[in-house]
Order: sequence, then structure tokens, then C-alpha cells
Amino acid sequence: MAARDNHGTGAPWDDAFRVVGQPLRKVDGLAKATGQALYADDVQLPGMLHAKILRSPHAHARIVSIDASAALALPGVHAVITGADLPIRYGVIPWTPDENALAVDKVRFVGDEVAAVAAVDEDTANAALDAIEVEYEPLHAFLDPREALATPEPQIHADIRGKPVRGNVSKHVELEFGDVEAALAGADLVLEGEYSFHGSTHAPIEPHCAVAQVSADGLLTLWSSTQITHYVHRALAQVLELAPERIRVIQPCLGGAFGGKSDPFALEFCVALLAQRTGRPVKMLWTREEVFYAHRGRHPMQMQYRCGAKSNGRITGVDARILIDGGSYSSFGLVTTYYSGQLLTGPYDFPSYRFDSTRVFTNKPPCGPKRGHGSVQPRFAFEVQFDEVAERLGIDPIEIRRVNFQGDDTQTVNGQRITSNGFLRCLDLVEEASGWKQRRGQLPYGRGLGVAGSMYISGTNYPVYPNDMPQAGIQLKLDRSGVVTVFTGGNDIGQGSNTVVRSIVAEELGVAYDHVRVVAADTDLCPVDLGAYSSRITFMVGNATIDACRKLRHQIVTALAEAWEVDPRRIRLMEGRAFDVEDPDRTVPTREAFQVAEARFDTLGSTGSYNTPQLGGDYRGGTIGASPAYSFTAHVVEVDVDVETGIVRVPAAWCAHDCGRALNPTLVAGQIEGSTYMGLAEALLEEHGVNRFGLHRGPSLLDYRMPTSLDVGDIHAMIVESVDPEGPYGAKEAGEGPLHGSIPALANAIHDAIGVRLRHLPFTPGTVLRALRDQGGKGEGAAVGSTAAATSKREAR
Amino acid sequence: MKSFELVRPRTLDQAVTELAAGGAMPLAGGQDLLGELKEHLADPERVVDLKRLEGLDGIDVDGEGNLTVGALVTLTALEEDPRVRERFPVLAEAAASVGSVQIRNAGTVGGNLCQRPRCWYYRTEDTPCLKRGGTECFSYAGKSKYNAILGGGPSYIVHPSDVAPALRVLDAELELRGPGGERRVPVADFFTLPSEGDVLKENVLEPGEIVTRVRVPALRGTWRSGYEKFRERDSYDWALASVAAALRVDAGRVVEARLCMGGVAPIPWRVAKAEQALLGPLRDESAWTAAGREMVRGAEPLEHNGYKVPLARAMIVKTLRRLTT
Repeated sequence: MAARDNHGTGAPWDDAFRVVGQPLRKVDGLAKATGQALYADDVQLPGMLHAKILRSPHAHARIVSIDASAALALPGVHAVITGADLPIRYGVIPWTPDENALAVDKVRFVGDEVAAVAAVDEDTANAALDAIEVEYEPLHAFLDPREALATPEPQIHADIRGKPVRGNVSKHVELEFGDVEAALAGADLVLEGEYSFHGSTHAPIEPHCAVAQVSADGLLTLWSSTQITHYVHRALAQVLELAPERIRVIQPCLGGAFGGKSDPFALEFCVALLAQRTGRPVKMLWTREEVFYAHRGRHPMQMQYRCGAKSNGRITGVDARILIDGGSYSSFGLVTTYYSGQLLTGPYDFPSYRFDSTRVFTNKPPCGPKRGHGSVQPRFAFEVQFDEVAERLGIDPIEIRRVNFQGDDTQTVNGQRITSNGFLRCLDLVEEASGWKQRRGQLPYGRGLGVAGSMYISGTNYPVYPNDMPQAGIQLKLDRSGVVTVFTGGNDIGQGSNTVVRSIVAEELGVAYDHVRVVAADTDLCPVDLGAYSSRITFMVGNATIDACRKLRHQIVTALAEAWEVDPRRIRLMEGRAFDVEDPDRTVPTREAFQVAEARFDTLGSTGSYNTPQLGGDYRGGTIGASPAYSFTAHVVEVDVDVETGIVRVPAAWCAHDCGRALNPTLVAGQIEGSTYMGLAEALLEEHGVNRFGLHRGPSLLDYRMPTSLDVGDIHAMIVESVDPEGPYGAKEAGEGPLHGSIPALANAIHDAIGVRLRHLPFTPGTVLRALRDQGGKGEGAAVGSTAAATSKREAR
Repeated sequence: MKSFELVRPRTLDQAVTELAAGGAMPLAGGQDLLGELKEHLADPERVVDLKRLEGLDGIDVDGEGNLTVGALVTLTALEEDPRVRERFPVLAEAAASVGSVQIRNAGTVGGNLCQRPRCWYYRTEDTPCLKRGGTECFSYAGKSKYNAILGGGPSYIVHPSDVAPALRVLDAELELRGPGGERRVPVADFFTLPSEGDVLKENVLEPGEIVTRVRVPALRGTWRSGYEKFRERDSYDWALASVAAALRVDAGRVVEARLCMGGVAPIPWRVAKAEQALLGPLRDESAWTAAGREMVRGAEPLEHNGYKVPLARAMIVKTLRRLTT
């Protein structure tokens, strides 16, 4: 059975870690830096064709007819496929299969896939697209989620999985824990406010790419820039009606994903079918513009929050009402809708909590999981409102967060089990490093400091499709050469998961770091892992790796103890050598130890696995968002607001993140910096939206403004190690949590700087100028509270 | 990108002849044209590469201090030229504010002046934008955050050039060469409002005509000049509002003022009344405010660009504050 929580959190051989905790280079660092790394687009096969996709120019339309005869007649065109060729619907969440690789009957957003062409080169394929004639009957396009919610017709999806859809509602979740109304009635202060989060997208540097080849005996191999090989494997089998054993999916080196490569995408099905039809390898590489259409980015959310607190700052209850703009397909939307509520119940104790979240379909590029899936938007709203609670009650914003700390080894109001919790330490660190006590309130008008806290999951025990098999599996092979080869289904998407696996193996088996080879994300070679999402890999694959290592270690130690005629407890494997701890002169290189073991036990290998314990509240959806361990984060952001132009600069940000144990501090710091950068970027600059025709407003990296190094201030990453009892050596996630607080901390800093509460993202110069103009009691809703602070700051100028 | 024939003439006559033959477009640094080709906004049959033409890549200052800049001079060369930096800082600063180092290394002065609009409706192949022969300026009722507050209609683009406002306050002239020969046009007359000129173009260039040189007259007396550019992102970005300013200072007073804005109108926007407001004491904040007011007088913001009005005023104040300190 899958191993869990039976390895302890300490070093495997004695008190000190030898590899874990070292700032070691990434497995693929040099290959990437020197250009040797092979990405999907580097796959070049003999006779390979190039494929392109025809996309809808309409936001919502019925397809009357498609005539591809002229395209097929073009010299160099090998095949054209349409929705009729791939009629089986799929979806990454098995309960909501509402996607076709190519549109069947209807298109649902500008950019929806309609037909695909395989030709001798890209130019010919593009010419063929121009020759395909599609007749559309335009339908009313919903671009505003409120309108889509209020108007049931025309339905964007009439049925999903054979079940009728209610209007344009994608998913509705309403959950209440405790009596919120009574809790608010008993509060000394109740704040109510509206907040909104715009759309943003991942913009990985590598566009999506897939290459398919069908062997002479009918085996389909797909190389794809996916972050979840296993789900692509499943989806291909389902849509192509192929037995899973006829399919091999390989993820080559990946140039960034951030959640944007979690779904099965049209290009994977199209190249597979085109390869089957033509008998030749087929590649499709999306343009940057197409990556913007593929999207699956951050959901825009309109959020109403009510928060009640006692005069001492203790929260009595929180009530949230959230409208989620899902775009045109479900994607992970079922999970998003739950996450929008379920992941807010820490690091603070909520005595009562209610959320009512509705995801609606609109005729826009489909939203999905982006770093901090579903919980970044509510975290923004709540932390900004919480800051205002502190202000109204005259409590320091860091202090109110301490006052409400939920503690470790506890349970949240919605039934989530909290193990380790280093949030207080995170708060202490950012308070100290930012000079909060000395500087806050002392800075000149226009400059300010803001704080926010957050939590996130280390994977979830909801395995997307129900099954009793392990979530993570791993396999080790070692032999007389001294090399250990690890086969992991985990997807390294740049976060460094292969490096983590290598570190754990080197630590456990005492081999030199570079004697460990990692083979990853190849469904033929590697045991199943559920892939890179929900910050699960370090935690789950890490635990599986320790599990596999301990089995092999037992064999090696046993063999060596027999050969040396000593108690096995005296044997150590460390830093490339095996030795007798009571007679250190008795020592051999680990290679020789492996040879002794290979002679004793025959060919050496082991498997390891991990599955989550039973977790979550005993109610429908209670397992969604339930994680074996939660990470915690505190941010302090400093801003410099130019009140003449409205531009907001961030000279510095401090982020302290409780990752349990930093298996590689360089990688953890990189995740903290990258997450904080990404949060600030989407708060200040990036905006993914459409115009009144549903056409993307700027599907290019010039129009979608990602900050460059010139725009980013100093990000100070600080690591807190709470050593979680469930994680590998105590580790928890680090890849997504450190994004959340950056955005509300920024908003709270702006308030500190200029006395204006910004509740609607993004914070562009125009927004800031307008808010400045409107301040002085004329702001919307609860904004009146900011007047006093604004006035006093001005006088102090 | 569609296939095209690449022509690489050695002489200006050949280049102009090739360009006049129709279906041809000029290529210099390629920083705008290549984007247009890739986005299918331009589909020329022939591309005429001007980079092999001789004598257009130099910066000269004559004995009287008049500056001549060849159209093929890169923005980096202009930005780094010590004579330009010393005598015409507004021009060096404007050049230095363009795009990024890589873009300035390749992009040319002529190309910067003749680049096409950045409006996202113009840049999206699927939109029948007025400036590409369509019937409607979509920014008028659409997303207008980056569009014009002044001089708009029927198109509401802003001219993206940073060099143009600087040349405008330097009273520069452009030397043009076309099938009809050579002519000189003041920068003031080179750019055209969409309501006055051909809406498909941003300037008076005739078919086959190219900019060959920029001529900047010497500044007599004591001048202070500078360029301030406000943008969302500190590189790879265009101005939301920029200010080119040049002040002649005598005995602690501004005796001549020139002020031109970029990023707010379809042409570099120069307003005489704003300049007159600056005449008087060197450091007079009320004069800066008055100049800002005059500069945006008559502004007609669209739905999403109203912020540009206070922004433009603020940028004028910021620029003048810097120049007079």
C-alpha cells in the first residue's frame, strides 16, 4: 500500500542532512543555460508535417457548414480535420466534459478551434487555412458574466455529460460553517465591500507545442509541452478511442507553464489524429497569439465580502458572495469554484464562514488554473477588507493578523486539517526585515507599507478522477555502475521537481549528487504521477521517493552488513561512500556497496508511492481543497505612488514563506521571488481581456505588459521551516503560496501611502488617479473609512 | 509572413524607383515592418532594403551648429552622440526612451518617424480598422486606454514616435526623396491629422517617397531642453504621455519656450498658447500649470483614456520642474 508518514522528518542517516538543504544546481540548469535542453519544438522527425488550426472569428456562433475541399486540393496539404472527426467530448475534470478538440456545431469564443490542417510546411498549412470556407450563424455573445447569469438563452452549453445546464451557470457552490448571521450580529464592527479581480494569463516563454508519431505497429507517441502527462494520456485514449496501451506521452523539457498547460489541448488531439490519418509525424507549434487564446488563466471574479470583528480584532464571521467569469469552457472550473471559498480558512481562525460562489460561462477564452488557482482573488478581497478592519479598530495590521492566528495542529471551520503552521514566524520576519515598526506611518506622503497573509495547499487528496491507486509513484534502478536512475511520472515544469527527486535519492542512498539520473514524465517509462498542479509534486513525489529509497537502502545495508559481518545498524551510506560507523576505516565507494547488494539480491530496483490520508470535511465538496499540509505566507510590500501621474512603483517587497523544510533553498527562494513578481505583475500591469466583439485586446507580449527587470524592485525571500510531520523531511509547497499575499499587501500599502483604498484590480495609473480624485468620502461603499487617514497624511506632508 | 522579393539597392535613385513601382515597402531597421509582416498587417510583394544606401547613416554638425542626421542612423547612435547630447539633449533623451536596447540598436531615426500606430485594433488582423481601409475606428466606442485625447477623429490613434516630439520642438526639417525628386518638409507639416490627411497614413509621404535626412537648426542662445516619457512599463513600451520641452533662458527668465507632447494625439501635439504661458520667470509653478491647462485645452477623452488629461498636465509640470532646477 502507498506509503505515508512513516519516514519521519529527520535526516536518513544521522542528525545532519548532506544534500537536502544545500543550494544545489538544477538537474537541467546547464542544459537550459547552454541551449542544449530539448523542448517539444526541438523534436524533428523524418517526413514530419506541420499542422495549423483554423480559429473562430466569432465569439458565439453556430457552424452552418465547413467546406475544406479547396484546402485539401492545395499542393502540399496532406489532411484537413474538423469537429466531425473528433466528436468525443472531454474535459480535465471528468464530471464536466464540455470540450471538443475542434468545434462541433458551435464556436464559443473568438479563437475557438474549428479545423486543423497538416501540410508540408507552416506556410502551406496557413494557406490551406485561408482556403477553408466556414459559414457561421452568429449568436448573441455573452461577455459580461452578470448578463450571462441573468440571461438563460442562448445557452453557451446546453448539456454537459448528458445533463442539461442551468442557464449559463457552470458551477454553483454554497457552503456555510457555523451561523454567520449570528456571528456578524454579535460583532462590534461589520464591514461590507465589493472587490473585483481582472483576468490575467500565464504567458510562459514557451508556446504550446505537440508532436505526434504513429509507429508501423500502431503505437501513438506524443511529445507535448504539457504539465500533466497522465491526464493527456487518459484524454487521448478517450477521444481517439484508443486503448491506453497504444499511447505513449512524453513531456520534453518545458519552458514554463504556471497552470497554463494543465488541460488537454486541441493541438494534442489534432496532431495525434493527423499523424494517424497521414501516416507521417505531425507537429503543431502555437503562435504567441494562440497561447493567449488557449488561456486557462486567472478567472475574473466579482466579490462581495462581509467581515465581522470584535473590538479586540478577533474575527467573528466572514461571508462571501463571488461571481466567477469562467469563459467558454469548464476546464478546472468545478475545482476553481470550490477553491474560491474553501482555501480562505487560514491562517486565521474563522469562527463562522459562508461562501456562495457561482461560475458562469461567457464567450471569452476559457479560464482555468493559474498559480494560486482559485484562491488568489478571494485572498485579495479578504486581506484588503481585513486591513480596513484593523484600521477601523485602530489595531496594527500585523498585530490583527497575529490576534487571529489559528495555530498549528488544528482544524479549520470547514474541516481542513492543519498540521504545521509557521505563519507567526513569517509575520515576525517580514515585520523585522521591512522595518515595519520604525517606518510604517513615518514615510512621506506617497510612500507606504502594507501587509497580507495567506495559505495554500501542498497537493490535494482530490485526485481529479476517483480511484484507489496512489497519487504518486516512482521507480528506482541501480546497478554495479554506481548510477541510480529514477523514473518519475512527475512533470518538471521549471519548478525543479526533478532536482528535488535527485536530491532525495542522493541523500537517502548516499550517492554523489550527479550519479543520480532522473527520467521523468514519459508514460512508457515512468510510473503514474498525477502531474504538476496544486503544488503537489515535491510533497507527494518526494514522499514516494523516500519510500522507494528506503526499500533499496534496506537491501544494500543488509548485503553489506552480511559481507562485513556487522550489525546492519552500523552501516552508513553517505557522500558517495559506504562505511561502518564504528570502524570508519572499513569503507568502500557506494558503487562497490551496490555491487555487493547486486550479488546478494540480484538485479536491484524498487518502487515507491504516496497517497493522501483520508482528509476533508464530511460534506459534498469537503475533500476539494483538503490537503495533507498547508503552506503559509506573509508579505510586506512597500510602494512609492506618484500622485501626479498615478504610477505605482514597488521599491521593495518582503515575503516570508513557511515551506516546511527547504529541500533546496535556492529553488524555494526562486519560487518566492517568482510568485511575488507574478502577483505584483498582474496587479499593476497585466490584463487579459476582450473587446466588445469578444476579440482579445492584445494577444502579444507587447500589448500584454509583463514587467521587465527594470520594473521590479528588490524582492526579499525569506524561508520559514516549520517541519511538517506529513511532508518529505517535513517539506511543504513553495510554488504557489507566495503569490497570494503580494497583491493585497500592495493594495494595503497604497492605502498606507496615499489614503486611498483600491478594491478593483488592476492598479493602473488611470485607476489610481481616479481614486485620488474621488477620495474624500466620495468613494464607493466602505471607502469612506479612508478619508481620515488620507487627510492626516496630507497634512503631515 | 507571406513570401516577398527582397531588393537591396545601392543607390537612392534605385531605391526610389523600386519603391515607386508599387507593392513595395521600405525596410530599414525592421523594428516595425517585421512585426507588420508577421502579423499580416502588411503583405508587400517586394521589400526594399535601404540599409545598403550610402551616406544616410551619419550625424554631422556644421560650423554654425546645424545638425544633420541621416535617416539610417540608429537610435543608439543618436542617443550616444556627444554633440547631440550636449546641444540637443531633448533629442538624445527621446532616442534613449525608445523600446529597449536591442530595438534602439537596430531601429533607425527614419523608421521611428515613419512607424505605424500601435493601437491594438490596428494591430489585430481580424479587425477592419479604419486605418487599414475599414469603416470604423473601433477605439471610439471600444477599448481606448491608449488612444488620443486630442486631435482625434475619425481615427483616434496616437503617434508612437518619441523622436518626433523632440524634433518638433527643435523646429527640425525632414529631407524627403521620392520619384518626383527631393523636397524638404518641416516636421510641423510632416505629420497629418486623420481629419485632414489620408486616414490610411500618418504623414505627407507620397507613394515611393522616403525620409532621407533630418535637419535640425542650431539653437542660438542658452537653451535647456529635455524629454520626459510616461509609460506603464519601463522598457518595450510606448508613451501614455510624453513631453518634449526646450526653453531659451536669459537672465533668469524664459524668453522662448517650445513644448510638444507625444502619446496624446495622432500627431506630435504642440500648442502655442501653452508655450506663451511659460514666458517669464524661470521657476514659476503657476506658469507650468497654466501651460498644462493650455496644452490639453479642448481635450475630448474617450471612455477609457480620461486619465491622460491629468497625466499630460502632470508630465508637463514634471518636465519643466526638471529643466528649471
